[in-house]
Amino acid sequence: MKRGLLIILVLGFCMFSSGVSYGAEPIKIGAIFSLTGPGAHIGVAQRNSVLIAIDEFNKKGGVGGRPVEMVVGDDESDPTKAVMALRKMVETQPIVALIGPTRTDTGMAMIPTLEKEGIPTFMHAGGDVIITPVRKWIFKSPYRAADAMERIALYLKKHNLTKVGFLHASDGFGKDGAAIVDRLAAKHGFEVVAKETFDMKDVDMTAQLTRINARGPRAIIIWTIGPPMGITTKNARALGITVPLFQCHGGAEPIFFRLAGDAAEGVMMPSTKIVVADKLPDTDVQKKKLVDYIKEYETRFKDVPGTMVAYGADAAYLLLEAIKQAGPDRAKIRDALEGMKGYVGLSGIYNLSPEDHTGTTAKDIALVKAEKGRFILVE
Amino acid sequence: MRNRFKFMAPFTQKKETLFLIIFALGIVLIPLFVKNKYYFMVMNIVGLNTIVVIGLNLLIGFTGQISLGHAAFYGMGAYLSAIFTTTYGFPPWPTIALAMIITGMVAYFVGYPSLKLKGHYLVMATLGFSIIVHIFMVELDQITGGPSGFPGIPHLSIGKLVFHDDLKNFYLIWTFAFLCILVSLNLVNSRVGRALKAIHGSEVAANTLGIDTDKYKAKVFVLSAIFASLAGSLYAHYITFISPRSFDFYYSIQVVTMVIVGGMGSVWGAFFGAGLLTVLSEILHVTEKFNIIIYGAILTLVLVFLPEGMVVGFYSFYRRRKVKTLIEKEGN
Repeated sequence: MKRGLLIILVLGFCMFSSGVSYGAEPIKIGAIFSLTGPGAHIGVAQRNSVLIAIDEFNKKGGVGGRPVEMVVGDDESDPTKAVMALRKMVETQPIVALIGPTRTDTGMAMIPTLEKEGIPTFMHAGGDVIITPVRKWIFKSPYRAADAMERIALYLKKHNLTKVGFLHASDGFGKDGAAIVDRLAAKHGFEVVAKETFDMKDVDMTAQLTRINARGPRAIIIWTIGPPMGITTKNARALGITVPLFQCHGGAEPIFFRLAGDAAEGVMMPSTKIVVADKLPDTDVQKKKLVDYIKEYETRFKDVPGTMVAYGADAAYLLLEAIKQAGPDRAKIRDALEGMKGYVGLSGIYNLSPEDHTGTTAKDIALVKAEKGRFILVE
Repeated sequence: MRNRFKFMAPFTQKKETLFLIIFALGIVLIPLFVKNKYYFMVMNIVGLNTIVVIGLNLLIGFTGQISLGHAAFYGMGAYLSAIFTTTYGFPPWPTIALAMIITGMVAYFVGYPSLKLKGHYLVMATLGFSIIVHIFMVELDQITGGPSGFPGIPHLSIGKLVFHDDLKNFYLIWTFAFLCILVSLNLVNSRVGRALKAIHGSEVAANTLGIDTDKYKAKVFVLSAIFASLAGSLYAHYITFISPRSFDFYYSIQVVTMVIVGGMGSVWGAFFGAGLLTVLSEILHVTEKFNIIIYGAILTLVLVFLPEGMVVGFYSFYRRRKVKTLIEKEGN
């Protein structure tokens, strides 16, 4: 008798608890960022960017009344920890999709698990290796390096700058750039007159820039990320180089002005429109979204969003849109992502397809110029 | 120093056999109770770290030399296995052995000259060496994949049995960890082990007794590098992706910390240190941004109150208590 009562009680409790949470039960998505370690400065900004997107989505009613909840993991910028964070999430949380991680190597480490488990994933990592070859479940929001370089090439062509000096870091990113610039030189009819490399830890690139300058380039492209962006810019200005200087598509961050100081003046770079949102013409379809987003970001996090924030937010927006269309089903979400056409994001108009898991082209990329501590739109 | 030596390798043969049986039973029985893949992954990483730390523990505990290059040996195992099997299609098992041999030889060339010198020159040599290896991993991107890493490494297999999930790798990794523990215990309790203990007690005294201290030190160093290489190969075939970040200087520091926290000169201390620190950093994720502070505080407390490491420290504490009660009894 006592036992029967207990069973009824337990059963009743189960029904009660499931009954209460039904309807409002959140759909969970995983989010793994480099919140500590060398990638932390980008990882934290990206987490913030995703938080805004999710809150906005939930305010609009979520998926038929069900809110989306983000389960956050930290990969400590370490590939092993990234896989562990992912395993933990897969085992303990019913996630339907994943956002992140921040770095290319952590992303690559997670891919085997993601493909095996079949989790639609929108990565923030920059490396093109993530989507070449196209992997069934993996998407990424930052521009392809080739597209960003093409944006510069289009400017060179338009202004008839046919002799180009190229300076790049000797890391993976820099070396990729060196291969791309050769390809684009043939395509757009300019000549790479000098090509020099430096190490990411170098503190002075005057020698390389002197050699480049001696070949009489009409423009110099510098392909690197982080502190060397500031050093190369300063060195070039100190040498009295006045030809147009270009940095890569990861440079349009507030920190660039701290790295390069006064030398930043006039440096051009491909970027998302987020750094020049207020200067966009009102006809620009992205403008309203960008302006609203920046306002929200600045009031909530007391920080100026850079180009990395735009990539982070777009990954979240696209994924949320797919969840809204497909419901909480991994395979359907993936299919919905692949069918996403003409989605207006912060970084561009995304057209995803089975062959293209990034979805943006050179046309989406703005060319911006540093001027008086701000970025202005060149074209 | 003398005092510590008294409590080194503290367990009797009988106790050690018992521990080994419990350990082996643990490996077999744990999967019956644990079903969560994440726990298996944590245990697997503990297992890999244990293999590295056991070797390093022999070096630090018995020769008193510290190596900051074990990340490089770990990485060499991983990269050699990855490159030979994935790029050149070598069979995985012989490649693991090949990687161990190559790593061992490299370790000999790094270790032998610096171990001949008095003082902590091995630290400098291994530190420099690990930085060089790291640069090779990053810069030889045609071969290693550079900073973006090396994907697509095959899983290990025996016949039709492919070690493709966490559970199978759990058995694989812990079998090797068990073997490494067995080898180390045998070594510690052999003539070589006694020679090593003599070196630890006093190098001069050992020398006068006819022990070629340089040779023994170099041998232990090579053995520890070979263990690290084995762990690296297993890591590469388990995760199927490697990148230089996993084998940088911080990993070297991490394994040295595991040796010190677990207990120098104790094979079980190595296992304990690897387990504790790996699991601790996972648990501390719940404290979010404070995790590094708490982690540091725990390490500091251990080093202040148990400078011999937890296993050796607690054991000598227990022994002292026992001796004390014995004395009190006799007094009565």
